[in-house]
Amino acid sequence: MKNMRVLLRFAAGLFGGHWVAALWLCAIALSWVALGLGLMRPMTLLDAKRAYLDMGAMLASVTALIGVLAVTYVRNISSRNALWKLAPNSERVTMRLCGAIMTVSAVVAIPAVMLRANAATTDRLHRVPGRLLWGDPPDLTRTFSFADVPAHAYAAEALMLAAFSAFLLLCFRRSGATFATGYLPVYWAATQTSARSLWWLPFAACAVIVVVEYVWRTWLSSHVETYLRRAPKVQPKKSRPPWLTAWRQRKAARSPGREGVDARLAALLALPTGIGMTALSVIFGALYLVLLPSDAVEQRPGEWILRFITWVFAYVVASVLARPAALPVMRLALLPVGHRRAQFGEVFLKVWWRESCTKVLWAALLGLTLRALCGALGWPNFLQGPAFSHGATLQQWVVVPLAHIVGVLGIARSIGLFSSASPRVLASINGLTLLPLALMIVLPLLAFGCKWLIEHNVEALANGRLGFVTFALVNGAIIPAIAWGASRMCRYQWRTASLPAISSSMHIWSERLRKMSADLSGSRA
Amino acid sequence: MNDTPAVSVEHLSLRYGGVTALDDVSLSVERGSVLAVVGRNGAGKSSLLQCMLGLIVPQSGNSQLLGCPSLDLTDDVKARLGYVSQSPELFEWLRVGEQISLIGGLYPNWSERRARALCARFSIADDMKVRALSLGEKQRLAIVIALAHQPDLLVFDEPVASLDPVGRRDFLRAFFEHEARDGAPVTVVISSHLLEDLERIATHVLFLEGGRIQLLGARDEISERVRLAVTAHPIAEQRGILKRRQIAADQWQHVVDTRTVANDALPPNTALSALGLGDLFEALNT
Amino acid sequence: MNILFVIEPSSATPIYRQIVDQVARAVAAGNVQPGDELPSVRAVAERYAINPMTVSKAYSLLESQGLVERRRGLGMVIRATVPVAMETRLALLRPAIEHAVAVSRQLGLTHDEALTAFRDAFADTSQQDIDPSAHKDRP
Repeated sequence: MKNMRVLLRFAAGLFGGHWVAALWLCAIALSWVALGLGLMRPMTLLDAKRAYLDMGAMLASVTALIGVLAVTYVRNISSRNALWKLAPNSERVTMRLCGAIMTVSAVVAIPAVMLRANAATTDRLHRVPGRLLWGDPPDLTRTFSFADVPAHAYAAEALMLAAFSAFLLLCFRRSGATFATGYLPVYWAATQTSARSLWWLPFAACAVIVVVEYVWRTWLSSHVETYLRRAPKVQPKKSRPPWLTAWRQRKAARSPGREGVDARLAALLALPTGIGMTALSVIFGALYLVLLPSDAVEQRPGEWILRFITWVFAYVVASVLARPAALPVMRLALLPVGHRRAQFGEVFLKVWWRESCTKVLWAALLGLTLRALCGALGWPNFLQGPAFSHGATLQQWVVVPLAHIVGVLGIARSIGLFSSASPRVLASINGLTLLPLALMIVLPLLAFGCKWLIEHNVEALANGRLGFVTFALVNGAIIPAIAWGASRMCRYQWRTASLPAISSSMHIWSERLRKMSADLSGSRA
Repeated sequence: MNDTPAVSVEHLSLRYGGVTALDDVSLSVERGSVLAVVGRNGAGKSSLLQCMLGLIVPQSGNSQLLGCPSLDLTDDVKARLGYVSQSPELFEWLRVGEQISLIGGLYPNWSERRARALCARFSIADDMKVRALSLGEKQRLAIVIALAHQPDLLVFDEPVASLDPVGRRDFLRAFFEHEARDGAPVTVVISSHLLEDLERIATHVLFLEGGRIQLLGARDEISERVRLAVTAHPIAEQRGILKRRQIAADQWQHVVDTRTVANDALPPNTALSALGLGDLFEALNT
Repeated sequence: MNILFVIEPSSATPIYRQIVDQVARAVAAGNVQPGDELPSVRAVAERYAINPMTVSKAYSLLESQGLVERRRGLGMVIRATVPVAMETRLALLRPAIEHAVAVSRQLGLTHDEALTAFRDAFADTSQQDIDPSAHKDRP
């Protein structure tokens, strides 16, 4: 039926396109696979495969809860979009769509509850060995299967998921609370089973988001349209650039020689970054540094996951801090700078690098301060656990974080180098869109390749010993070197680069990003 | 059924962020009339139309569409409505044809054939992505969606700003090509800055200023009874004097409602000149 | 018959009044004959992109003035009660004359100069050139 097809396309697009829907389906399948693994194969408590069950539990919970979030999103859209709201029967179609999403969520809620119950039970066993099944000292060879999970554990997990879903619906349905902020509590809810001490965290996060949002739109936002519907926004023209940009421009204007031309071009291209976005990404980077695992703990099962996450997360953090922004290349269009075209790649790099370097350094400063503060206060508790404990050694306090800062800086530099390598990529809107995604895949692959090589050839660094040194070496030196090589190789392309093409694709790209962030955050501003 | 006004609005007030968007606005639009809502930017035109449709909840007052409360529209009434907003909120990821059939499919009176004809008429290619359309094309697409189910009541918020003159004429003609369900003419509420267009079709005119009704009446009556009077001395504020402004040292310009003004208010032999909508708009808003 | 209206939406004269005046003038001048059919409401509205209600309001007014009548199957036709009385024709001319007088005063023309100009213009312009709406009646 044609209408059904259109409705499905509408729904898929609403959540970001077909591949999001595909991802969702994959997540559901993987959750069931994890459950299957748990059911088919009883494991000992220390079995390495247990990590799959834990990851399955997280994935299934996230998928189920994202469904709930999606329902709130659909309801928000349907009550805000004038076309949809004023169409007859739209209410019924909305309900049907929400019903379908909830059904899918329910399907994935089954593995979520079972795997969470399993994880929660083993958590409790870890914490109080001997109290339940295992005697003292615990018998670690005994296998543990779903049959050992008591019925009340299932009930507790089901209750927690249901309660959190209801809370999400309550918090995000009525208020126009932003969709994207909902990811945070959902993510926390997926990691906290009822056996964890921070089970209340996701609930609190929801409440805080809703309260902040309410305060914002009741007292701070001046336009009724910002939360009711989109209105064409008349932006007040700022006559002066922010002081940092102005200072850079003044400095560039004074710098002499050939270097000076590049500096002036870079100053001309620099866009004043929104203070909000900068602050958010800096906080994000700082939290990464605070949550670095300790390097002093002896190898324990499951520890490698933490380390693996630290590695992978470095790329996420770096790409947030060093996201190459669209540049106002149009400003160069009428300047007599055509003969310097071959250097434009470097100018672009300069603009991006300055921005990202500043952000990384701010994040480092904030992160180190917070880390010291947490260590001194002895709070929050989980940071004092064996996995995070910073002990008293200089290595834990300074060397490990510094090594990670070097690594992140290196990744940021590589992102800039790769992004500015080819004007042909920059001139196509598809290239611009895919570039960050491609880098997110290519850079970790490259890095893990190098890591593997190093760990198998350098005795001192084998088996993940001194992981932070490997991290700094690979990400801070080897990857940027490769990126530099690549950008040198592509440099000839800049001689024939078309500035108008780059300018127009960057414009379209930045418009698209702006619109996407407005759609995602639900902010109508 | 025919006696209930198409739109009735009572004592609407809307404030936000310290700004009064609407201040005690009451009006009713009879079936079959075409109400032009005019006013300067920020006069409250969009707010009024959105409150009228129940898209914004006013602080006080209420409004009814076709006899049904705006904040609780039934499907029957929604099926008889067409709305084009200032910046249409379309679903950017769909193609034009999909956008049309997604929304159109919800209307019982929907006709695919008519939608296609309208698309051709407003020159929109229906295999384009909505995202790729220009603002003008998006507005035309919203117009197609609003017209294709032959609504009884059309509400347009600045719909024609981005249409070319030929497109605008065509747009104006499209209003009257069908009749409402019960055979009555279609009711239209339209806000626009293009007074020349409004003058062609409006039967009633509403002047808004600062969220308040400045002047509301039948178009013909307004042009027959509202006059501009220039006198040497200001005339005191009173019934029938709609606006007073000093234009030179010894010249005061008054917008006068000749029907309600007292006989002795104006000095004898004052020259009264008639005004087109554009002149009247300027006289009222400066 | 082919009566061609000239509609000026921005004029201070309401559109329905413009239609009524133009039909009345055409009848008075003999440009249309009794039994001639007026274009349908829909056709006029369509052609000038105006509201059909305005057109039918004009036609109703013409009907009540006795200038046209509604005939089954034919629509509006000019009534056979012509010739129109001299007074009516003069009354129709009056607004245009008043306008011309106002302009003459502004130009500082004397009574005789203006009269001569009127006579010359009358002699120069042939019947066909007269556009039914060439004057704007501004009171």
